[in-house]
Amino acid sequence: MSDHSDNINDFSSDDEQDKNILIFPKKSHTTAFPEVNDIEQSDESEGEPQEETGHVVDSPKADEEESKDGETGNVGETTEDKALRLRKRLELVNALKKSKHKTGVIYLSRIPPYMKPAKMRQILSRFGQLDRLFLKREDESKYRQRIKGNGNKKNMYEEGWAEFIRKRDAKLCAETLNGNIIGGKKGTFYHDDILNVKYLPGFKWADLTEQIARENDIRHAKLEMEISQANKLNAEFIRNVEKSKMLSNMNKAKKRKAQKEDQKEPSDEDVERQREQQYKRFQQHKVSTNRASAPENIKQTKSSDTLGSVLSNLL
Amino acid sequence: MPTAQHTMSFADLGLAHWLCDSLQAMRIHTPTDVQTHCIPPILKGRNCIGGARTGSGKTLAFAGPMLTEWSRDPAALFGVVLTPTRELAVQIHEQLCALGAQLNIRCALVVGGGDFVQQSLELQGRPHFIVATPGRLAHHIISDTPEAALSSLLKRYTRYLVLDEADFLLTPTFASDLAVILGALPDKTHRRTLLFTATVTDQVLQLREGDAFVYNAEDDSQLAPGRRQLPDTLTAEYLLVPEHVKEAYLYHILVSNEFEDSTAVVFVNRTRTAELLRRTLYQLGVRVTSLHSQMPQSERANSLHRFRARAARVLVATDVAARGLDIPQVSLVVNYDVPSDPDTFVHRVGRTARAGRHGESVLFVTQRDVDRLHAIETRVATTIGQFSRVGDTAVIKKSLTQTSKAKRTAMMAMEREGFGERRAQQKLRQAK
Repeated sequence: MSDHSDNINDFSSDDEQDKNILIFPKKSHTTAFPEVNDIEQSDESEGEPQEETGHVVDSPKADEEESKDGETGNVGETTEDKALRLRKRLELVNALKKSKHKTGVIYLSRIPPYMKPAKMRQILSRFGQLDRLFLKREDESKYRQRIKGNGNKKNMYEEGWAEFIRKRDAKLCAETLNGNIIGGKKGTFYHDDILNVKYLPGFKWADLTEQIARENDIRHAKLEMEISQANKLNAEFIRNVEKSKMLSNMNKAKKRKAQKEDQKEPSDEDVERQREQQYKRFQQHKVSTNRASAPENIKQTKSSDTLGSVLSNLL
Repeated sequence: MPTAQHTMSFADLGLAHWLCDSLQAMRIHTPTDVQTHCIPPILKGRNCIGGARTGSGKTLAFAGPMLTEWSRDPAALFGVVLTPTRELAVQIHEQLCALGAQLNIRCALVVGGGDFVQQSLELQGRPHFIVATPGRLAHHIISDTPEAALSSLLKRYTRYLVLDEADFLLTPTFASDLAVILGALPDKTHRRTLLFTATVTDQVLQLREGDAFVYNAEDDSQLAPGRRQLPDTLTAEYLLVPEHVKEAYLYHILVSNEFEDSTAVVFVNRTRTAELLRRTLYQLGVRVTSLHSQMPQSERANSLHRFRARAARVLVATDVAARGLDIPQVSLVVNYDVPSDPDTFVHRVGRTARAGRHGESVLFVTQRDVDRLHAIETRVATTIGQFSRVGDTAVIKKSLTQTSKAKRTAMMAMEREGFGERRAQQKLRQAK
């Protein structure tokens, strides 16, 4: 369950993450570029480019080839090349974003069965440069149910959102694809699937993540508050510990003094009385037992009619 | 401990030969006290009330005669064994299967949290024995169909009813389920009833007045004042701490030099505390797992396995783990909350210092638990000393801030995930 919600939080589909791993076989390279999954940033922020976009724009085939290259031979060179290319692409995307165009978001109410985000990206990029894409995975329980009934083990997606860099492209995409078959080369798997695409007017990607961001903020603030409260309690405890130490030391000193002056020591009763005065009395938790030989005052005498009949029917 | 007059074999007690052979194969040679006393009368056809601690061979004391009689005429649904907790049922089921493996015994395990449909299919396959928790078995009987005819079969064939941990089963908690089950079984003259209990309660006393055979390993006379009720190898100590800094002390003890490698069980009174502690300790990097009733059954089994395999070294548990569970060698038992029933304390600390090995137990006492501590002291007839190996200053310096932070984070996470909501809804539905 938690995995699922995490997925919602980071707003990127698994396959895209996989792809990222494919693209960057070494961890050190990921650090060279900004985080992919951080989509809580607003659209206007320019510093955080979606380098994911820069990659997925080209066809998956190219990606595969790249990863193969990385595995087979001269790793250092290819990765350097790749880094260079990546940076170029990022710059390109940023430039496009900075330009006078505004982004447009579309909504997909239904995803063809078992279609992966990469394929969806490929289909949508026919209409223009795509920025972010999020497909919502089906419910975990639904998935488990299907597996139980010997169903397909692939991931199914329920709905999705996509962001075009140009608003124009988004509108065109919605107009063209809505209610129509996907088309393309005849005989391909998704050729005859019908898509539902809606252009969301006046809607930006940040609106999607806004609520999550807000909830996160609230949670964070609450945690801070709780912790500061706990710290106060702790401080109180520490003070009390010090105080008790001080008191016990004082008592010891008093005793020593009394011994030195060869006075009569205070009797036990006096000590007891002093204690009574010193310490607060607390209400005690109840003791209860149902052991037969226990004293009456702590014995549990709860009994029910059903239990009586059970007992009489038992032996 | 077999004494001179008790040196007899299982065959002398009257168990079937094949059973003696399989016991031989399991390297069980001499019967324990409870077995020598209870097996012959049961074989003679008497009801039995046995009082003995866990680990004293109770399971064999009822399984032996039951299997012996069953093997003479292997019938379906021959015996029904009831236990209060699921883990205990699993344990008894395993043992029965192992004992009867030679004769292709079929045992059904009917416990809550398992697959209901699968269980009813299993019951339709007419197993020889049923090991069950009362709630789920009652559910099967209530939702019985004419085709399955579970209750009529039970009525016709069942010869044995066993209540393990009977003192706990015979409380108002289980009364209604037990009434349903007893209604489906043959009446008391046509079946044998065996009760095994560690504590003698009023209910058990009441049953003793009948003509059943009574055996008690630790008779009430042994509870004479002045007699120490804890094993000699157990060091029981208490620690006086305020309520809201308990976690810090617990963490400090668990990671202290003395206990950092030892396995420990931490007992709490409530499922919520168990969950909170598990999360808190987990955040602090302790290999911890938990066992309580608000976990799915699969997770319960899993966490117990993890603990047994030492993948986790600390088990935070409610009283479901207090009784009967065969948990491996545990060197420390922490009573994080003081139980209201002094007997529960005895059960809990019984998880350690088994079979003559050394064990320690620490009891966390808050300002409101002093009465409970005194009750426990009178019950075990020992004065419990103060645990002095942890200093206030050390706790303040090393663990106070981090534990309180971890605790708050855990609390928030539990709130977000809605811990306990499901049970609250269940209660609401039942109240309607």
